[in-house]
Amino acid sequence: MVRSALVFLLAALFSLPLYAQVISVQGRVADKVTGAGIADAVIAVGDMAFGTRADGSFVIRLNLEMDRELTISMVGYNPRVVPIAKDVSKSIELGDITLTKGSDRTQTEELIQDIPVIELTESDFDENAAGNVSGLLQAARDPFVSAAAFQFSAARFRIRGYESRYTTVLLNGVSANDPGNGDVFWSEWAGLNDVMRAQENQVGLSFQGESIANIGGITTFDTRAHRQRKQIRAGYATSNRTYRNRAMVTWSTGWLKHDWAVSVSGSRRWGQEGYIPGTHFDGWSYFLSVDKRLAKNHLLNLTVLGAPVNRGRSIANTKEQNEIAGTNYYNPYWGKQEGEVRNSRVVDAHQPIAILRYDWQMDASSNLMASFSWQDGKYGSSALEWADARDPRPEYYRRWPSSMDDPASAAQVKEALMNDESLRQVDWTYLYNTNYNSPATIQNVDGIAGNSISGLRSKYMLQEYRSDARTLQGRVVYMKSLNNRHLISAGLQGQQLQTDYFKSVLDLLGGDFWLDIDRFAEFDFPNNPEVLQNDLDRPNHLVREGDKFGYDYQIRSQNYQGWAQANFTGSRMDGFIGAELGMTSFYRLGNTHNGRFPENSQGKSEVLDFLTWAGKGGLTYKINGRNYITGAVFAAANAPDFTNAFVSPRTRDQVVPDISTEKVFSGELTYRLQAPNFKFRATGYLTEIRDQTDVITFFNDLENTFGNYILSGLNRRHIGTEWGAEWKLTPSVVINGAAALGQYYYTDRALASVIQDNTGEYVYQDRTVYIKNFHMDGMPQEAFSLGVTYNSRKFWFANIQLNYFRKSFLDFSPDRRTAAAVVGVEQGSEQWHAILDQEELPAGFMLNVFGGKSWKIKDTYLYLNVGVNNILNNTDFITGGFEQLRFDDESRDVSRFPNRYFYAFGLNYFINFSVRI
Amino acid sequence: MKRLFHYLLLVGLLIPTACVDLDFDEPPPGGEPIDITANATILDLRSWFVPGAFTAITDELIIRGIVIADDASGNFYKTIVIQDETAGIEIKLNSVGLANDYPIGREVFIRCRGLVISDYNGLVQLGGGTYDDAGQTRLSGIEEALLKDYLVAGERDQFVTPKVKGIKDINTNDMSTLIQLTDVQFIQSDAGQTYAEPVTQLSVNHMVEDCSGNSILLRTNGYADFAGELTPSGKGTLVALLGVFGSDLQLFVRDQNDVDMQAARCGQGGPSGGDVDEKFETVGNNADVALAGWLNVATKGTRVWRGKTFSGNTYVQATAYNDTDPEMETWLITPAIDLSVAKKLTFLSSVAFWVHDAGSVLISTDFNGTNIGGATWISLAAQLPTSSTTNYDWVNSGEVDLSAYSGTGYIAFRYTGSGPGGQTTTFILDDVLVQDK
Repeated sequence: MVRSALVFLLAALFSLPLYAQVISVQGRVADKVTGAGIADAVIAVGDMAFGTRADGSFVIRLNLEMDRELTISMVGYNPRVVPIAKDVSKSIELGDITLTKGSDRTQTEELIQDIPVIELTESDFDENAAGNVSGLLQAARDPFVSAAAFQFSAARFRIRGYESRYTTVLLNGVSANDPGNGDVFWSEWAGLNDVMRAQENQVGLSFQGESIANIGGITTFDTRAHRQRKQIRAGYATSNRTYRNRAMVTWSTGWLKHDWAVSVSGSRRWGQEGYIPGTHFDGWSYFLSVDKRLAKNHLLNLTVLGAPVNRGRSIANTKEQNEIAGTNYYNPYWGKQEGEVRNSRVVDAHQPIAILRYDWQMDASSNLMASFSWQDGKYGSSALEWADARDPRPEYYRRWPSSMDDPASAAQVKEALMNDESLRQVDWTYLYNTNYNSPATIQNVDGIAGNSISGLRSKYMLQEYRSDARTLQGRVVYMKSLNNRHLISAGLQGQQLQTDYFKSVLDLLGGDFWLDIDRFAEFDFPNNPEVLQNDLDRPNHLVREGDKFGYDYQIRSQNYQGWAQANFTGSRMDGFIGAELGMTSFYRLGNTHNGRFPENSQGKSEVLDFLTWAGKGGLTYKINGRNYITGAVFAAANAPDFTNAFVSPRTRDQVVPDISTEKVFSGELTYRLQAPNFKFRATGYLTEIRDQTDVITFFNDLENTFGNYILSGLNRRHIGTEWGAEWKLTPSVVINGAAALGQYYYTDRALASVIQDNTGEYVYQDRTVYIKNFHMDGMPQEAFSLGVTYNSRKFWFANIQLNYFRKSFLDFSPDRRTAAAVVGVEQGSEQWHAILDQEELPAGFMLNVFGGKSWKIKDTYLYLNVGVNNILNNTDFITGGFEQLRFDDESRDVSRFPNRYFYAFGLNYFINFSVRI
Repeated sequence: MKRLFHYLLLVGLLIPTACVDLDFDEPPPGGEPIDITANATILDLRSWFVPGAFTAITDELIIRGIVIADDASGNFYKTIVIQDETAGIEIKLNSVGLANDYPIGREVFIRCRGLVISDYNGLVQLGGGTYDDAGQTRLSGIEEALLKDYLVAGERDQFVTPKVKGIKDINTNDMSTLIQLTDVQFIQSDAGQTYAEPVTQLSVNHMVEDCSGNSILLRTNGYADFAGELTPSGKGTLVALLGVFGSDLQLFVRDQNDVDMQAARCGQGGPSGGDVDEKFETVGNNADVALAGWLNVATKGTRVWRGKTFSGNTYVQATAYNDTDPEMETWLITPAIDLSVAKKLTFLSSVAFWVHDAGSVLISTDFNGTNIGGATWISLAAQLPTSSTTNYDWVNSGEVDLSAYSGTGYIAFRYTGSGPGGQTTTFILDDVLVQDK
């Protein structure tokens, strides 16, 4: 199948007319003083860039009608422009092009690179991955992408509104997208900034030889040791964001004797409390990369990296809660235990990955890359659990004045909550004391008659939700350039994933054991002891710290793809085309025999198979050497995320009816101007994502039971334009501007079904959800940035940037957009609108400043960078939020369960000092 | 290399090893000592009550009571009931899981100032305030965030002994106090029914009667965890709180253990079908035996059989030691036994300070349940303690065959003695078991 696709592609390609006059240019980039070749120097021609080989040599293709100069640059060296003489008409050999070391410009560039963006992955705004810009740590030269990465990320901006799963991320050739849902977990390699610099970012639908990337584009990291700059570097940073301190040390040897290269890096990021109260951070990162050149054209690399982290989380709050707490950063997750702040919601994760990569330069025009990786680890997220006891969470709505019927009591409670912080925080002492006073004798433990065990039965405990994934990947990519005009590449890739989902007991909080029964079933089926059991094979099971309980299942997933693509360079036209075909299959394997679902909780579920495909193509028309127009289209069918394929995988293997692949169609048109002192890009795009299904499990407080909400037939459109410009006013003053004008919205009504989690029965089925033209939530759909940078010849620079965000919308509850939600409500009334309208969040400004200075003392470089974001300390900037899924369908009063909002950090800073030799 | 060393040194200084403190001390068990004393009784508090009105307590009134009902079974919800020597009162709390904080038997102090006393159809309640419910003013519970302002919990396990009452003696003065009814039963149509509606979670009223035909309502909440259990068909003891709804008095049990009705129904004398299996564990130490279905009667003198607890075991005994009545004769009679199938009897007995043969075991098949003297009693041949029995050593009765008897039978343990006469042996009895042969 793959081969025939390839043949088809090649045939299609060769039928295109090609008139360009293309020559090949060879040469070698070398250090002026030592004469040594410089590997991985960047040779830019027009809007394309190439890297030099390990010995500094290069061979590139040049379209003489377009490009008449090469810009050669390398970090740590002064860049050089090499013109190609007008009379050249055949392939030429340029010989050695030498670069001189050091300059203000490269030092300044390095400073800029050292300014980290706000790493949303490390904050709590999103349990999962961040948007698709956080990874662009050292963003490309593109002014728009640069603004998106450095300036917009604090507002949770996402390029074109895409989730991170629509951006392909490759780590040394293997996919870093989660095989389950495609999300990218940047935190898995956080704290390794020094060694993750060798990366390439492409946003949108452009050609990239290593992969048929998704609609968001692609980011590739090359962690090979010889690609790391030869250095010893140590740095310390202080910040008031998610952590207070960061210490980092890196040692990269470059090529050593006997064809070895080694790169080692480690860091620690820590803080007893981050910007938000009660959020501790304790993270280590480690990295080891070893290269061995086996033979002249054979290179082997082993990379091992990991970032164990333990961090306290925070939550979005209602306006009432923030008002009473006196801050928009109120965090109910922590409480004092014997005088110390303890967070009840802690992420504890460590998912190390080992990658073995083999590169074979088969001949001057073709190479083969094979990568294999193994990832194994733990992802745990803690939470309080309780039984036969009151809800211990301070944020529980019944504890807040707005839920109270009696205005006098409400006022009294409000005052108490305002004056007594301990009432707004977790009362650990109460939890311990409750457990200390709950002696119990459990009969027939593990279903063994007469086996009775006495002790303190914990009414409260700290549990950990675990999703421990093991992933095995293999990926082979072959690339060949044909007669300097065509590049073809093809690849095969496969992923196997096993994720264990279970809960474990983290801390019994003074008790002796936890009785593993379902407290919600206890309420729903008071007189059926079987139904309560989480595992019928071990009824009345007692668990202690470290034991699994609640649920225990595995998702086994595998996917394979084959793809091929071709790129051609013409005189006026460049183009590419590519296609991919694959399959994804997964199933659930239940390890427990659930009392609610004795028939379908244990063992293997139905295997779900999906045929996936993607196709992509584009053309660039070169008006002249400075003006380009590019158009590209993309279509794909993606497998659904398995969390949206099972109704409630924690208890059973019930499959969402009619689950199918989602269909993606995307097109974009770009105009680019590339002048010496002025860069400009404008892109228009249109993307349709259709047939999505979303499964949400939520607690229906009024029914006191869980429901599974299945939303199907979600069709959405992302349409908009992107603008970016950079104007070099003088050699030291640069003005840049960027704008994103997008509209991301649902194009059709969807269907909702609700299944009662404890019985598997439909509460209702296929109810129309009126969300046509509702907006996607979670990011500003319009963002603007304007800034000026001053680059001093005396090794310092400063940048001030004003950003403006608007058209951000609240996540909406589908249940409120059904006909049933407005029964008896007068059409067009205030209440009608309160229930149905989607809330648009206020627009906001953010002013950011950053700068840096470097010194060179003999061979030692010292760097200092300072970044201050939100310098006006705007603490009312709402980045997003959500409506609660509960809806009181008696009173139909939406304020009963008020919305929750996330706020951007107020003034926050990052100061980094590093030393390099 | 030297420089490398310097850098590594620098790094060593930069990366401290233990910076984020995530080790937490466990709080000590036992909690904080309390420092509060009551200055009023519950009766004092109830004197603030004005029927139909919502009266805010404006004095610094501190009451102390023992919890007699909590929310453990779900029969009471967002409510606890406390009682002191003078009265009881229901406290409304807008919180759940109250049995963890205020379990039955726990001492609770309430600072009443700022709270509101009112009634719900006659049932007096203390709450946190009032709210409007579709035009109706209602009493609200004390909010969770304010609990520690108003309630202080003290010692645990200070259980209240229920007041023993007859149905016809119950009146509103008993409201929200613990009472015990003996020899009562669910009326025939309510026996064997679920306590409430577990599926629809609706509350249900059942009728409880004594053998004289006096009756009272017993109401059970549909959310109670025993709502789906069946009411017993027999007769016996009921421990309950008294509630009021308008002009109706109604009883509420805390859970199913408050209902012990295994004896034959009134007037039937059996056959109840029930066998006897009595270990006397529910009898209070030094309390007169008052078990459902059993009779404990003094036919001469005033002394009857009493419970005794020794080393964790409760048994019953009778003794004329220090008795001033000239003669003592007391009968402990089992509930009716269905002898239509062959039965056997076993029990344990013992003596202390033997001076005479005090105990005997008898059976009657014509006993009417009340008239001991009018019935025919036949002695049963069981092993009993003798003068050589060591004090408190148990003697096993051996299997006493009852297959020679038919119809409805009663077994009696009769003690005879005389304090003044020096016949003062203490006779001890435990583990009476009648079962199919």
